[in-house]
Amino acid sequence: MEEKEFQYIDSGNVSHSVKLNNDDFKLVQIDKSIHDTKFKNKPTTFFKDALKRFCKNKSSVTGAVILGVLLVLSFVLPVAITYDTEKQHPVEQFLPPKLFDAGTGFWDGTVEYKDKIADPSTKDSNGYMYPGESKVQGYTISFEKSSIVKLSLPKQGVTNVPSPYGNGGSIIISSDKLSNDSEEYINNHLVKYFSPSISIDLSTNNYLINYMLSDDTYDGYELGEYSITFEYPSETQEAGVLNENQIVLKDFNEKVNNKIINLNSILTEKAPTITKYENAYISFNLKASSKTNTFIPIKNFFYEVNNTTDENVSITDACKKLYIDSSDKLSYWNIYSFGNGARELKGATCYYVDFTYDAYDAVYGIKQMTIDQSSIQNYIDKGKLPKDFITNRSNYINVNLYEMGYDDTPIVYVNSVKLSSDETGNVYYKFECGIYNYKLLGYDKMPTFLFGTNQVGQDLLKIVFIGLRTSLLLGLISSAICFIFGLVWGSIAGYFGGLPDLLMERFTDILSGIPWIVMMTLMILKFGQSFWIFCLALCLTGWIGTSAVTRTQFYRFRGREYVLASRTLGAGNVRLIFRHILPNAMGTIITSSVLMIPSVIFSEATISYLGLGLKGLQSLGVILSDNQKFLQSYPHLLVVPAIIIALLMISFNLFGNGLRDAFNPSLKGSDE
Amino acid sequence: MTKYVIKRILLAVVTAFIILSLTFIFMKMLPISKPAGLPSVVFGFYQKQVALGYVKAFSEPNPAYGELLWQYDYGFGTYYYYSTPVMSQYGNWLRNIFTKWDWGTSTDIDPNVDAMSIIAGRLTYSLRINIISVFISVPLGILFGIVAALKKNKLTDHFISTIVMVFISVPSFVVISLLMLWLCFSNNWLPMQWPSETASTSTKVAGYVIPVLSLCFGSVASYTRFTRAELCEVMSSDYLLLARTKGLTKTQSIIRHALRNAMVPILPSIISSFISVLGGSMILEQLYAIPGIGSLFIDAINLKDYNVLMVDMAVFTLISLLAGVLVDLSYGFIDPRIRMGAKN
Repeated sequence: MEEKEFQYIDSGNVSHSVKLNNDDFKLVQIDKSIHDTKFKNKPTTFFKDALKRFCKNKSSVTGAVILGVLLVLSFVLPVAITYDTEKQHPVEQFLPPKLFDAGTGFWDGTVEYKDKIADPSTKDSNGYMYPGESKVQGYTISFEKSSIVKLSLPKQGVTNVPSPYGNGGSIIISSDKLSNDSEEYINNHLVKYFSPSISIDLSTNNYLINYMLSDDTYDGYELGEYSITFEYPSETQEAGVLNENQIVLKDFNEKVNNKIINLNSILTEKAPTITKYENAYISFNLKASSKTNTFIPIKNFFYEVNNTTDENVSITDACKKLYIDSSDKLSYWNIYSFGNGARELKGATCYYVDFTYDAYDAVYGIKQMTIDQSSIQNYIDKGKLPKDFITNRSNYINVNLYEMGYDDTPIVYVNSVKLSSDETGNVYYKFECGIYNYKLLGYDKMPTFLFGTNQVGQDLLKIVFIGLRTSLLLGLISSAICFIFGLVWGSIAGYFGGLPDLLMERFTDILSGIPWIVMMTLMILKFGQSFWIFCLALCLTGWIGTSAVTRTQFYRFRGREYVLASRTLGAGNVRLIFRHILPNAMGTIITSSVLMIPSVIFSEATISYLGLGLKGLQSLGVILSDNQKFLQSYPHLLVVPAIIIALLMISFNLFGNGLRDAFNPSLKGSDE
Repeated sequence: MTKYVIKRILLAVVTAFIILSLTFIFMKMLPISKPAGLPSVVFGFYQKQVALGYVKAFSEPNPAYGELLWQYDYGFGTYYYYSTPVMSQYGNWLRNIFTKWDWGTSTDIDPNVDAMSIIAGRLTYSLRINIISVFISVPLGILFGIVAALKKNKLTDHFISTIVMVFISVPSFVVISLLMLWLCFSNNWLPMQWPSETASTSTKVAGYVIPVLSLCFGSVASYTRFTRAELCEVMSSDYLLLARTKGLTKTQSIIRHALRNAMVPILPSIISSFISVLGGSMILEQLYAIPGIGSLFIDAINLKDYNVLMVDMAVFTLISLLAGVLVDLSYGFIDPRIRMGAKN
């Protein structure tokens, strides 16, 4: 070949010329056989790549770790904590969370009480008063003096709650404004109050009704229109029914300024024939008003004979009267109401104290108890008490047995020993002892509950993690059922298309159109609230999402060439669906179904919270729903499971989102 | 277009009809709720049920109709009440609705009161709370979303995204309970439950705080997330780059191009949220004792008051179907590129 001349310009703008012929070139790979070389780095799979990308996402990894910890704890803790949660322990109910020793001020098993009504009779020389008993919803709540850690000086105040430690105040009778049914009421009297029965002999005495209404309106109570009637029973009178034997002492619109009614003059004027009234009643009556609430605040009410007060008919001390009345000891001021009218207290004076209370000491600490000789003998026989404990009993009075080394019995010290006898005349001793209640309840040492105890005295920590386990199991099982069913349904609809698809799609349309809460409710009302019914109920609509994704994926892949090729080779429908199309579609389906588990747990918690939850099993929703009513008085009962479920949801979502991003092929490399 | 709209609405009506029919039939298979009270009141209830065709009255026992519901001695003889077979009850139910618009009467919640009027009375409470919270949460949610998208992968974005993730994950009843604990019980700033009608105006206003706050948290979070996702996608698109290259400033390009396009999927969801204000929130209403239709649903379930339950379900179903139709239609109005009902 001929020589060719090439010209080029170098970087210094100088022109060169070079001559080249064929011999200047050589084929490098001539006569060599060329093969693909192996990749030097290891090939990565789809899953490995996804894992790698998942690990890069720090928040998702955190979520996964928290989730893992919760999962492990939910299976380990219920087994590891030996405390019995099958039984109820009413003595140990509502203990606050305790981690540190009492007195450290934080997480120490103490409760701070503010503005508790104090018992003035316990006032000591330093001016301190101890909190008195109070009634809440039928329960009597009292405080052990010895378990009070910190006590404030009492301050005087007013209360509107009946208390045995309050003084004075006025009773408010309120009308029932909601009821418009006037048939049941006579003369529009909505709420009636009777005084205790009184007997009057008009011929001998001078009777007066002296009452005082507190018409100050600072509490929003207004002085409603009222009347005062005098009723006396006739032979045909039924209890509680007014008849013609009723004399109006003060009419609704009549203004009586002096608030003293002379019974004699009115009675002789209105019923001149009668001179003697037995078992008569005086009652305050309120006019019905549908517009506003009507009240009569009665500060004072006396029924006087000859200007001497008859104590039996006074309500000077409204606070105590109302408090006692609620335990039906006295029939004073019985409410006679057909509707929602009520009787309330206003403005009784009392003393308030703030204090910190060691709830654990109150339950498990030293308590006074009487133990009889046979139990003591039992302990002696086992060598847990000194051998001469009964014979030389006076030596052991007021001696700390625990310091003597006998710390295996509940008995700490003996206050006194008394002689007693049974029916057959056998004489035995009774030991008045101070005992450690935790020993009596069967604990080796003072128990501490990390999260406190619930309303039946069960360890909240264990209960919560049992609930978490149920919720997780329910979530996993339901999601698995939903996933498989949705996969099958979506595969069939997507693969066959046409009429089956149309029908199946309309079916899911209708199913997803019914609000899920309605579906679940119907199912639960019909079949009960057991675990497996719940599982199925949660699956009712849960599979629709998976089936929709599967269907689209099948639409996408069923016309592909490899499917056609396989079909021409004679593959059947089942083989095409499960061997060819499904594996290709799986990645997308899984990513879209990852968040199903938390959503199932969420649904379960929601429906349980609405009171339709599992029966006989603890789940997070059930616990939350059970403890909701203690939100005000024992917030830890709600806060702890609330935090756990929040943590579970957050970590599930973090984990799920991370997983979805990692598996999503379209996001590959987008973050780099 | 008109044809498509009519088709969609008709389809929704048919779906609603099927759903309600199924619900009615399922519900009638459940044990009947028998009213309690004075015989005269119960008698009134059964007479009404007979008139509606759900119950049959006989002058002598008729075991062919199954379990005896109630018997009433009216002085000259006795009425024996049996429930009508389910399918014929269904027929009667349809006839009552279509001819008289009579959905039955309540058995337990407010005995012998028309179920429809109970719902109507409760609807206003749910409506008020939900409308207020929609008006607060939509602007806030979009605002936070825009901020997060513009400061993508910076501290502001991380902060907003974390809070959004927390509020989306945490169940609403947890949020409500903790809010109540904090604002009502620990600090006593707000009323502990929905104030009664007689409460003072300031108490009534304060009563709105907890419901509105708890409804807002969730929806602000979801609007924020949605807006951020949409805006981020638009921001990385080619036409926005073109807008910048042709000389628009960043603000101009965001307002004129990015936001407008990002709004396309967001607006329909706002429209649907306006529809769902009718629905109320069951848990919130239950917890805060709001007499809305959500708590009515739970009361009806717990008291087995099926007539009220049925009307309540009808309301919920219609709301969700209507929302779905409106969302689909609004896409067409907002984004002209989406042709409604076009054949592919």
